[in-house]
Amino acid sequence: MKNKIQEKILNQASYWVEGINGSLYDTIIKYMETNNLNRTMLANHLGISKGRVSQILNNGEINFSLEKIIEIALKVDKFPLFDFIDKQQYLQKDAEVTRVFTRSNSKMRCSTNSARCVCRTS
Amino acid sequence: MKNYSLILSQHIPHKTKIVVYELCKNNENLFNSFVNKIETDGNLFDSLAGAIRIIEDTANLILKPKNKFREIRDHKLSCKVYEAKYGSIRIYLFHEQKTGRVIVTGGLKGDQDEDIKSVIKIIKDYQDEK
Repeated sequence: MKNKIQEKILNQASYWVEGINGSLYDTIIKYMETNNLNRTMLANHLGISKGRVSQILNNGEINFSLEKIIEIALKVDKFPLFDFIDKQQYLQKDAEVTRVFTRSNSKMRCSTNSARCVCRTS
Repeated sequence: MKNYSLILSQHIPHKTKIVVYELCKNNENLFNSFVNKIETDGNLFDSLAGAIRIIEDTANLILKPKNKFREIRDHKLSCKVYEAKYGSIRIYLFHEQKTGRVIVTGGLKGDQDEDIKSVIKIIKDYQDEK
Protein backbone atom coordinates (compact mmCIF):
# COMPACT_ATOMS: atom_id res chain seq x y z
CA MET A 1 0.00 0.00 0.00
CA LYS A 2 1.01 3.59 -0.46
CA ASN A 3 1.85 5.60 2.62
CA LYS A 4 -1.02 7.40 4.32
CA ILE A 5 0.03 10.85 3.20
CA GLN A 6 0.26 9.85 -0.46
CA GLU A 7 -3.15 8.28 -0.19
CA LYS A 8 -4.52 11.46 1.36
CA ILE A 9 -2.99 13.51 -1.48
CA LEU A 10 -4.61 11.20 -4.04
CA ASN A 11 -7.94 11.79 -2.33
CA GLN A 12 -7.86 15.56 -2.95
CA ALA A 13 -9.84 16.84 -5.95
CA SER A 14 -7.18 19.50 -6.62
CA TYR A 15 -4.61 16.79 -7.37
CA TRP A 16 -6.71 15.44 -10.26
CA VAL A 17 -8.00 18.82 -11.46
CA GLU A 18 -4.43 20.09 -11.71
CA GLY A 19 -3.51 16.94 -13.63
CA ILE A 20 -6.25 17.55 -16.22
CA ASN A 21 -5.48 21.28 -16.44
CA GLY A 22 -1.79 20.54 -16.86
CA SER A 23 -2.35 17.89 -19.46
CA LEU A 24 -4.59 20.13 -21.57
CA TYR A 25 -2.21 23.10 -21.20
CA ASP A 26 0.74 20.97 -22.29
CA THR A 27 -1.20 19.58 -25.25
CA ILE A 28 -2.31 23.03 -26.43
CA ILE A 29 1.20 24.54 -26.13
CA LYS A 30 2.75 21.65 -28.08
CA TYR A 31 0.03 21.93 -30.74
CA MET A 32 0.72 25.68 -31.10
CA GLU A 33 4.46 25.03 -31.47
CA THR A 34 4.02 22.20 -33.97
CA ASN A 35 1.60 24.20 -36.10
CA ASN A 36 3.24 27.62 -35.67
CA LEU A 37 0.08 29.19 -34.30
CA ASN A 38 -0.08 32.49 -32.45
CA ARG A 39 -2.78 33.22 -29.86
CA THR A 40 -5.19 34.76 -32.36
CA MET A 41 -4.87 31.82 -34.72
CA LEU A 42 -5.33 29.41 -31.83
CA ALA A 43 -8.46 31.24 -30.64
CA ASN A 44 -9.93 31.01 -34.15
CA HIS A 45 -8.98 27.37 -34.47
CA LEU A 46 -10.51 26.42 -31.09
CA GLY A 47 -13.55 28.65 -31.54
CA ILE A 48 -12.98 30.49 -28.25
CA SER A 49 -12.27 34.14 -27.46
CA LYS A 50 -8.73 35.55 -27.36
CA GLY A 51 -9.34 36.43 -23.72
CA ARG A 52 -10.05 32.80 -22.94
CA VAL A 53 -6.87 31.75 -24.78
CA SER A 54 -4.86 34.22 -22.69
CA GLN A 55 -6.48 32.83 -19.55
CA ILE A 56 -5.37 29.33 -20.50
CA LEU A 57 -1.86 30.28 -21.60
CA ASN A 58 -1.10 32.73 -18.79
CA ASN A 59 -2.71 30.96 -15.87
CA GLY A 60 -3.12 27.41 -17.04
CA GLU A 61 -6.70 27.63 -15.77
CA ILE A 62 -8.99 25.75 -18.11
CA ASN A 63 -12.34 25.98 -16.29
CA PHE A 64 -14.30 24.79 -19.31
CA SER A 65 -17.26 22.48 -19.33
CA LEU A 66 -16.52 18.83 -19.98
CA GLU A 67 -18.05 19.19 -23.43
CA LYS A 68 -15.77 22.13 -24.29
CA ILE A 69 -12.67 20.31 -23.02
CA ILE A 70 -13.50 17.39 -25.30
CA GLU A 71 -14.09 19.72 -28.25
CA ILE A 72 -10.73 21.43 -27.64
CA ALA A 73 -8.93 18.09 -27.35
CA LEU A 74 -10.36 16.94 -30.67
CA LYS A 75 -9.36 20.21 -32.33
CA VAL A 76 -5.76 19.76 -31.21
CA ASP A 77 -5.74 16.25 -32.70
CA LYS A 78 -6.13 14.29 -29.46
CA PHE A 79 -8.71 11.81 -28.22
CA PRO A 80 -9.52 12.57 -24.57
CA LEU A 81 -9.51 9.39 -22.49
CA PHE A 82 -11.24 9.33 -19.11
CA ASP A 83 -11.23 6.33 -16.87
CA PHE A 84 -12.61 5.53 -13.45
CA ILE A 85 -10.55 3.06 -11.48
CA ASP A 86 -11.35 1.41 -8.19
CA LYS A 87 -9.31 3.20 -5.50
CA GLN A 88 -7.96 0.08 -3.80
CA GLN A 89 -7.00 -1.52 -7.09
CA TYR A 90 -5.29 1.69 -8.18
CA LEU A 91 -3.37 2.08 -4.91
CA GLN A 92 -2.19 -1.54 -4.92
CA LYS A 93 -1.03 -1.46 -8.53
CA ASP A 94 0.68 1.86 -8.03
CA ALA A 95 2.37 0.72 -4.82
CA GLU A 96 3.85 -2.25 -6.68
CA VAL A 97 5.31 0.03 -9.36
CA THR A 98 6.70 2.31 -6.65
CA ARG A 99 8.25 -0.67 -4.81
CA VAL A 100 10.11 -1.83 -7.93
CA PHE A 101 11.15 1.74 -8.71
CA THR A 102 12.35 2.33 -5.15
CA ARG A 103 14.34 -0.90 -5.12
CA SER A 104 16.11 0.05 -8.33
CA ASN A 105 16.87 3.58 -7.09
CA SER A 106 17.86 2.91 -3.49
CA LYS A 107 21.57 2.95 -2.90
CA MET A 108 21.71 2.51 0.84
CA ARG A 109 19.62 3.00 3.93
CA CYS A 110 20.17 5.64 6.53
CA SER A 111 19.02 6.11 10.08
CA THR A 112 15.63 7.37 8.89
CA ASN A 113 15.10 3.64 8.34
CA SER A 114 12.98 4.27 5.28
CA ALA A 115 12.98 1.95 2.29
CA ARG A 116 12.93 5.06 0.09
CA CYS A 117 16.04 6.57 1.58
CA VAL A 118 19.11 7.16 -0.58
CA CYS A 119 21.05 8.82 2.17
CA ARG A 120 24.58 9.76 1.22
CA THR A 121 25.87 10.56 4.68
CA SER A 122 26.33 7.05 6.03
CA MET B 1 29.45 13.05 9.31
CA LYS B 2 27.53 15.20 6.88
CA ASN B 3 24.40 17.11 7.81
CA TYR B 4 22.46 16.74 4.60
CA SER B 5 21.08 13.70 2.84
CA LEU B 6 18.50 12.89 0.17
CA ILE B 7 15.52 10.62 0.39
CA LEU B 8 13.24 9.53 -2.44
CA SER B 9 10.13 11.67 -2.24
CA GLN B 10 7.57 10.29 0.15
CA HIS B 11 4.90 12.68 -1.09
CA ILE B 12 4.91 12.41 -4.87
CA PRO B 13 2.42 9.59 -5.42
CA HIS B 14 3.86 8.18 -8.66
CA LYS B 15 7.21 7.44 -10.19
CA THR B 16 8.36 10.20 -12.50
CA LYS B 17 10.69 10.53 -15.49
CA ILE B 18 12.95 12.83 -13.49
CA VAL B 19 13.37 11.29 -10.04
CA VAL B 20 12.13 13.49 -7.19
CA TYR B 21 13.93 13.52 -3.83
CA GLU B 22 13.45 15.39 -0.58
CA LEU B 23 16.23 17.03 1.37
CA CYS B 24 16.96 15.92 4.93
CA LYS B 25 19.01 17.87 7.44
CA ASN B 26 20.34 15.84 10.36
CA ASN B 27 18.00 13.06 9.25
CA GLU B 28 15.00 15.35 9.46
CA ASN B 29 13.02 15.62 6.24
CA LEU B 30 12.51 19.37 5.86
CA PHE B 31 9.53 19.10 3.51
CA ASN B 32 7.88 16.52 5.73
CA SER B 33 7.77 19.02 8.59
CA PHE B 34 5.95 21.47 6.33
CA VAL B 35 3.48 18.81 5.12
CA ASN B 36 2.75 17.78 8.72
CA LYS B 37 2.04 21.39 9.66
CA ILE B 38 -0.35 21.84 6.71
CA GLU B 39 -2.02 18.54 7.49
CA THR B 40 -2.53 19.54 11.11
CA ASP B 41 -3.90 22.97 10.17
CA GLY B 42 -6.24 21.24 7.74
CA ASN B 43 -7.63 23.88 5.42
CA LEU B 44 -4.70 24.18 2.97
CA PHE B 45 -4.17 20.48 2.35
CA ASP B 46 -6.15 20.64 -0.89
CA SER B 47 -3.78 23.33 -2.23
CA LEU B 48 -0.80 21.28 -1.09
CA ALA B 49 -2.06 18.32 -3.16
CA GLY B 50 -2.37 20.63 -6.20
CA ALA B 51 1.19 21.89 -5.73
CA ILE B 52 2.48 18.31 -5.39
CA ARG B 53 0.72 17.44 -8.65
CA ILE B 54 2.54 20.34 -10.33
CA ILE B 55 5.89 18.94 -9.17
CA GLU B 56 4.93 15.44 -10.33
CA ASP B 57 3.82 16.72 -13.75
CA THR B 58 6.92 18.85 -14.32
CA ALA B 59 9.10 15.89 -13.32
CA ASN B 60 7.27 14.06 -16.11
CA LEU B 61 8.25 16.87 -18.50
CA ILE B 62 4.71 18.24 -18.76
CA LEU B 63 4.71 21.98 -19.41
CA LYS B 64 3.16 24.33 -16.87
CA PRO B 65 2.54 28.08 -17.05
CA LYS B 66 5.00 30.32 -15.24
CA ASN B 67 2.48 31.30 -12.61
CA LYS B 68 2.37 27.67 -11.47
CA PHE B 69 5.97 26.59 -11.90
CA ARG B 70 8.70 29.18 -12.23
CA GLU B 71 12.43 29.34 -12.03
CA ILE B 72 13.74 31.49 -9.19
CA ARG B 73 16.61 33.63 -10.45
CA ASP B 74 18.96 36.15 -8.86
CA HIS B 75 21.04 33.68 -6.88
CA LYS B 76 24.58 32.50 -7.33
CA LEU B 77 23.91 28.80 -7.09
CA SER B 78 25.13 26.46 -9.82
CA CYS B 79 21.73 24.78 -10.10
CA LYS B 80 18.26 25.80 -11.18
CA VAL B 81 15.88 26.60 -8.33
CA TYR B 82 12.13 26.33 -8.84
CA GLU B 83 8.93 27.32 -7.10
CA ALA B 84 5.70 25.37 -7.54
CA LYS B 85 2.59 27.35 -6.66
CA TYR B 86 -1.00 26.36 -5.99
CA GLY B 87 -3.31 28.72 -4.11
CA SER B 88 -1.44 29.93 -1.03
CA ILE B 89 1.01 27.03 -1.06
CA ARG B 90 4.58 27.32 -2.38
CA ILE B 91 7.00 24.42 -2.70
CA TYR B 92 10.70 25.07 -3.34
CA LEU B 93 12.96 22.66 -5.15
CA PHE B 94 16.13 22.55 -7.21
CA HIS B 95 17.53 20.43 -10.00
CA GLU B 96 20.71 18.53 -9.26
CA GLN B 97 22.58 17.21 -12.28
CA LYS B 98 22.74 13.40 -12.48
CA THR B 99 20.36 13.13 -9.51
CA GLY B 100 17.03 14.79 -10.26
CA ARG B 101 14.69 17.22 -8.61
CA VAL B 102 15.17 17.85 -4.90
CA ILE B 103 12.34 19.30 -2.83
CA VAL B 104 13.74 21.53 -0.11
CA THR B 105 10.66 22.71 1.74
CA GLY B 106 7.36 24.52 1.41
CA GLY B 107 5.96 27.82 2.50
CA LEU B 108 2.98 30.12 2.34
CA LYS B 109 2.27 33.00 -0.02
CA GLY B 110 2.94 35.77 2.53
CA ASP B 111 6.32 34.37 3.60
CA GLN B 112 7.69 34.02 0.08
CA ASP B 113 10.64 36.44 0.27
CA GLU B 114 11.98 35.09 3.54
CA ASP B 115 11.37 31.49 2.49
CA ILE B 116 13.26 31.94 -0.78
CA LYS B 117 16.26 33.43 1.07
CA SER B 118 16.23 30.55 3.50
CA VAL B 119 15.89 27.93 0.73
CA ILE B 120 18.82 29.42 -1.23
CA LYS B 121 20.94 29.28 1.93
CA ILE B 122 19.99 25.65 2.58
CA ILE B 123 20.86 24.66 -1.00
CA LYS B 124 24.18 26.49 -0.74
CA ASP B 125 25.01 24.70 2.53
CA TYR B 126 24.06 21.38 0.94
CA GLN B 127 26.26 22.02 -2.10
CA ASP B 128 29.19 23.28 -0.01
CA GLU B 129 29.06 20.13 2.07
CA LYS B 130 29.40 17.80 -0.92
